[in-house]
Amino acid sequence: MKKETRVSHPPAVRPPPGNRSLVEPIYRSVKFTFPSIEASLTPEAKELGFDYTRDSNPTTRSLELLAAELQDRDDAICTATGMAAIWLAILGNIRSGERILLFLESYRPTRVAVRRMLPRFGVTHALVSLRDTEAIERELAREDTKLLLFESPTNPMLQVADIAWLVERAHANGVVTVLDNTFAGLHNHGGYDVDYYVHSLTKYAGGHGDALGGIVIGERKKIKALRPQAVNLGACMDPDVAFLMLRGLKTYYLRYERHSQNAQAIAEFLAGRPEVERVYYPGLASDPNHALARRQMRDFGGVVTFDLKGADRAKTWAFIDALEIFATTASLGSTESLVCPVQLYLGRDLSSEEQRAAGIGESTVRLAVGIEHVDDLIADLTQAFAKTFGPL
Amino acid sequence: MGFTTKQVHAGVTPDPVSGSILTPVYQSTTFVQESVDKYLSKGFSYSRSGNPTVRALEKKLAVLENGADCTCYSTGMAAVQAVLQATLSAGDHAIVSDVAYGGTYRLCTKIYARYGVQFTFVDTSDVGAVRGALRDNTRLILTETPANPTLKLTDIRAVSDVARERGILHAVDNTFLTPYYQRPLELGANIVIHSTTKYFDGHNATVGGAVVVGDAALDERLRFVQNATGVIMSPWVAWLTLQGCKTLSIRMERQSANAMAIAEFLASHPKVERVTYPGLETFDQHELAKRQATGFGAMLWFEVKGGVAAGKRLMDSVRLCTLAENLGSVETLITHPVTMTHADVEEAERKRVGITDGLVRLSVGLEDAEDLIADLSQALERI
Repeated sequence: MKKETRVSHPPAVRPPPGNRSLVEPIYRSVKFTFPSIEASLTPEAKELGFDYTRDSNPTTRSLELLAAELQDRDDAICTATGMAAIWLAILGNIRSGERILLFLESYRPTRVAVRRMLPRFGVTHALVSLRDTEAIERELAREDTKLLLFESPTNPMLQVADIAWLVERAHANGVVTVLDNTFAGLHNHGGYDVDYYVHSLTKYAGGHGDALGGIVIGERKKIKALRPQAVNLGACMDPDVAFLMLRGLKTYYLRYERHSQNAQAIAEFLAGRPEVERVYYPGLASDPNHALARRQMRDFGGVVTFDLKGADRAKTWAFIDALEIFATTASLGSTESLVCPVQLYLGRDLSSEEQRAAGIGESTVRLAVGIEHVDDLIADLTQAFAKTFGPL
Repeated sequence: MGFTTKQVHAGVTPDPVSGSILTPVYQSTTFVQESVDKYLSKGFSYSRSGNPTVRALEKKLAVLENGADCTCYSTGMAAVQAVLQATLSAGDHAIVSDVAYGGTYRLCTKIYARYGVQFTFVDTSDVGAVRGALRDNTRLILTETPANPTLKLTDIRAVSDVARERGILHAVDNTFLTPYYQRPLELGANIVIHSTTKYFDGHNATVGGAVVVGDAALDERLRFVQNATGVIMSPWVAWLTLQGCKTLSIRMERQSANAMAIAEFLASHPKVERVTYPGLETFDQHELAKRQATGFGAMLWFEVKGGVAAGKRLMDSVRLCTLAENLGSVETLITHPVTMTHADVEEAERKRVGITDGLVRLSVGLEDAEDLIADLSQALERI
């Protein structure tokens, strides 16, 4: 063989049997090959084999199986982002002439996708409040309602959905349920009869603010029904991203626990501050969602939202700018603490009436509490209060 | 500025912080804002909506295709999906090449048909047939030239003229030739689609897609879809693809020269029924190939005598050519569509678009042409 040929076909290094790398390698290859056509057509090759990374990849598959297990299911499909996962769950379950029920209290890009993109394709929707049980019952009973898309706790206002009730009412009406479980994490809510769990793995699963990714998790049969759509959409996750997610998951439980402890301490701190009108955190005993959250969740996550007292937009922004450790940016669930003005980042698609119904005001601030030392975080908030509102 | 200069330099400026000549891999999900008031003043907020490494690749590809701007995606299929999503609505009609990539065909029939979009699959090498398929609600013509795997060509300028007369869009999948050999926007097309997995990466290391458009307003629509549906390219994939772009022209030239040598070898082989390669004078549309592109590419197909059995035998006998369905990489890949890529397509449909039982597709790589010919020669002996 000439060296010009050899460079495209370098020596393959195969460790002897039993000599394995402790961490699975990253399979960057786009293509996987078989020794013969016959070998590629066996049932085992079809079921467990790999062919093309858009369709499946060993590194990504490892993440799918792990995340599914954490969520108490047995299969999953990884996607490029959390929004691609939501999109896949929608497209796999809905067609022209059908209707989606979703809530005012939901992630802005999800609302935008449903409200701005789907009407052009003949898919209608109802956008109601999570608290409006009458409207929920009415919408679920409609013949054309086929999909319920919800979150718990919601982003950014931390409203807790009654999962058992919603799923029971949906299924009684033949409606497929999709729960964006990003805030609660892979270890919560697995016991409910939800059809599809969707996660932005960008957040707690990856946890280090370095990679974007999403996943749809469900029972094998349900995921199998969705897989052709995933292949057609080409929304796959890059294997290096899957590797970062797998690495992130090794500290998932440690991090989620610390996020929750820090958030609890900060929520309690905020509840005692005179500059704060109201705190939204399901872990607070005084939060109206607390009893339901305790029934449904082991712990409550790292996001704390609050309204500043008597602050207009300028004062709210000044408070956010005064924070030093909390960085002003979108996202959450990373080791670093982040902050964002809710109306600007997460509410600007809503009319002022809808914003009111969703509980979003110009003084609403969302903290994504990281895993730094909680004393430093509280000190940062304290100095920002002093700088913006004056000394106590 | 010449193409080979642009493929190295376009879109990339040294990193302002360190002077790093390569764009860093911005493996960060989110970007810190200086203050709430200066939201987005540096252009980036969240990597789904925009990432500096991905942006560098988008700018480079826009320059190489001579377009206004470009959006990148997780795969070539995600790029096709974004084009359909951005240009079509329920009640609209699109004309799609009948030899379009199987994935494109499935996207149309399995997803968009569910949302009230109508498709007509047409032999777009026949401009009259394209014209005949037009309806009042036609909004898009989607072609692929050369087509996969038959290599049938579509006259880009002629179809673009039809689209322009009707005020509708013409999208061309330019994956097989790349802008080094063919630039559809310069021939009147509105949209260029790429699977960057193929020649842009060229090393079988990433999957990705791109859409380049001539009109900034259309790019805005695509960017909205890219962000809302989240089918984005990861920064690491963008970085690898940026590196791949730098050797695009030299790989294309060598792989095409190899393809020509192999096509000539096969054309005179007694066990080969026929060879199809746009560079051969016997190729039906050889004149069109020369008119709208400056090279013939590295894809060819041939038909071995003896049908399915002979095709399979050849597949199982090659040693250097790798049995795999991708294309465009430095490794030579060989496929037997009837048993591999098109196994799920009905026989009548398959034959209608020219995929016969003995058809073998070759994606010619960067190996030494003599080694490749020797490998095919020994495999043909075994039939």
